[in-house]
Parts: sequence; C-alpha cells; structure tokens
Amino acid sequence: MTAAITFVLGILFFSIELIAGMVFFNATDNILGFSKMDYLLLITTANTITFLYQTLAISSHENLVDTILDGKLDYVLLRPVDSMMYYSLYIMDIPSLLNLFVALILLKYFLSFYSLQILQVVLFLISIILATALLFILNHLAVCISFWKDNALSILGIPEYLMEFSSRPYSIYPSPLRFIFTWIVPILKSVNLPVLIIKGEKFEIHLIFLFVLVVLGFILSRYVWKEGIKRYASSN
Amino acid sequence: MGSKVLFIILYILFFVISIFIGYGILYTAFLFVFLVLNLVMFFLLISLIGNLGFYLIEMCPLRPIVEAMFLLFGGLLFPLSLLPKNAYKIFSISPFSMVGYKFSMALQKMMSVDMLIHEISISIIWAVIFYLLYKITFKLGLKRYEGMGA
Repeated sequence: MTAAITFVLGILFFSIELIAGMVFFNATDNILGFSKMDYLLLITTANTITFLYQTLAISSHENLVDTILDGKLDYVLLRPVDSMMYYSLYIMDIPSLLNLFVALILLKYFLSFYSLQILQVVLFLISIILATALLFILNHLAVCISFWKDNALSILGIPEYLMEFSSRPYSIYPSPLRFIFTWIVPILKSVNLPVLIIKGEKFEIHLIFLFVLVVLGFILSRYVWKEGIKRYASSN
Repeated sequence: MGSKVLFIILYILFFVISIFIGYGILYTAFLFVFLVLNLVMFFLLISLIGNLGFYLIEMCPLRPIVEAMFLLFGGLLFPLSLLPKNAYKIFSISPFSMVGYKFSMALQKMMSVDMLIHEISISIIWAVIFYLLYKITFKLGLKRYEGMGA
C-alpha cells in the first residue's frame, strides 16, 4: 500500500511540473533560451536524476539517522565490505524504480524531438549519472551530520530543496545565484547540464568540473563517514 | 508556540505598514477581512479533510495531495491567469486560489475594492460549504467510530 502511494505521489508531482511547463509555454515560445521541449526535457531529466538517486539510496539515507541514534549500525560495520557504500546501496526503493521507468520513457519521448549524435546521447547519460552522484554526495553529507547532531532534521531537507530549485532553467536565476550553484555547489548547472548537451551548447568545462567535483565529493563523503563512525556508539 | 509564529508576525507587520504605503484604510480593512476569512475557510477545509480519518486508515498521503492541489490550483507554480479562459474561470474560484493566487493579487493591489468584496463573498460561500460538510461528516463519522477502553 505504502509503495503504491509513494509511486502515485512521485508521478503526481512529476505530472504537475510538466503541466506547469505546458502552461508557461502557452503564454510564450521561449523562456530565456529554453523552448517548450527544452523545458519539458529539463523537468524530466531532473526527475530522472531524483528517481535514480531515490531508487538507489533514499531508503538507506532516510534510515541512517535513526540507525545512528539507535546505535544499530554494528552489523554494517562488521561486514568485510566498504561500509559506506554497502549501507547506502543495500536497500532499493521499488516505487522510485517504477517512477524512474516512467521518467525514462518520457525522456526517450522528449529526446525523439531532437536530432542527436551518438556522442551527445552518451554524454547526456554520463552527465545524468554524474548529477545523480552529486545528489547522492549532498544527501550523504547531510545525513552524516546525525553522527554529530541529534536533531538535524531540518538540514536533511536541504538537498531536496536544492534539487527542486535546480530543476528550472539556470538562465532564469540572477547571476550571483547562478555563480554559487554553478561553481560552489554546482547542483543547478549539473541538473541543467544534460539539457545543455542536447541543445548543443558549451558544456565541456562544466562536465569536467562536475566529474572532478564528484570524485572529490566521494573522497570527502568517505572521510566524513569515517570520522562519523569514530563518534558512533553502539547499543549492543 | 508553533514555528510559523515569525511568519504571522511578519504578516501583521505588513498590514500595519501597508496603511502607510498607499493601500488606503478601506482597502487595508477589506484585505484584512479577506485574510481572516481565508484563514477560517482554509482551516475548515483542512478540518473537513481531517474528518476523512473516520473513513480512511491511511491518512498520510493526503497531505502531499493537498500540497499538490495547492501548488496547481493556488497559483504557486504559475499565475492562474496563464490558464485558458474557461479553465481560469473554474480554477480561479477554488478555495486554493482564494488563499494563494487571489490573495496575492489583492496584496499587490491588483484589485479594486469591489473586486475584493467579490472575492470575500466567494471565500464566505466556501467557508459555509466546508462548515456544513464538516458538521455532516463529523456526525456521520462518529457513528463509525469505535472507542478503545471506553
């Protein structure tokens, strides 16, 4: 029952964003360089990134706070595997997987309106994976705060708000915000990047930057996880 | 005291200041009436939805659904005036529109006093409908209620 509700709600909010896009473009043909199809592709890409992250890690990240506070991380730490990756990926969220399928079907449909080269499609997919990795890192860093603070619930929602903020054309934001969310916390540019690749705009620097940042982000996440575990107290 | 108290203080301050920035006392008074009525109307709507607890086991999905409706019909995602004419006519008188889109329009002084009175009347009609439905559903709901240890 809960799984069905999660699936329906995921689709509901996704549909609302698409409807909003269609309403916007009833009034205009272009929003600061984004056509109707670019906009719908951006919304679908952003949702694909979110659903992919949720499929792989949301259950674990949601449970991590309680697991840390209840001191029930022992069985994860005892296993002869990478505890951070094992804990983050060992539960798959099935409703999100179903949402992901819907998003992928729509993504394929919207992409059919563009004439694309194979390289563009490959880079598009790579940029989606990198953006998902960035979202994973942001969420992971947010939940790891629970190792230090008991009541960090308000911080846990920040990556979600950032993702919502980033699922709009980057060009609508004022330049200081664009700078912050392109070069400091590059979630805005990362979510927009797949669409920029499809549109044939300049993307190389951002793709390389995103790749480097994801690598550094994983190193930081691992460091934070290891430091956090030092503070962890088992209940056994 | 709830965490939203700061927002309430901010709203009250806004009303006080608005008298001095060109709203006029009459407009501000009607705006204040509109705010209070919207508050009552929305409270009754949410109370009515709360009565579904008598009939449903799982209530938690209702909150995101109400949020989704508010986003869509309240004009939070896009101004309702962007909708096609017929759709606008229907959605602009929804309770969500009264609280979101129409109230924002009123705050921006994009309405005359007459229009404001018209919106206030719609808000009152919704409030009465929700109140009556609340009373009926509560009465019917009590018949289904089973007390534990009573």
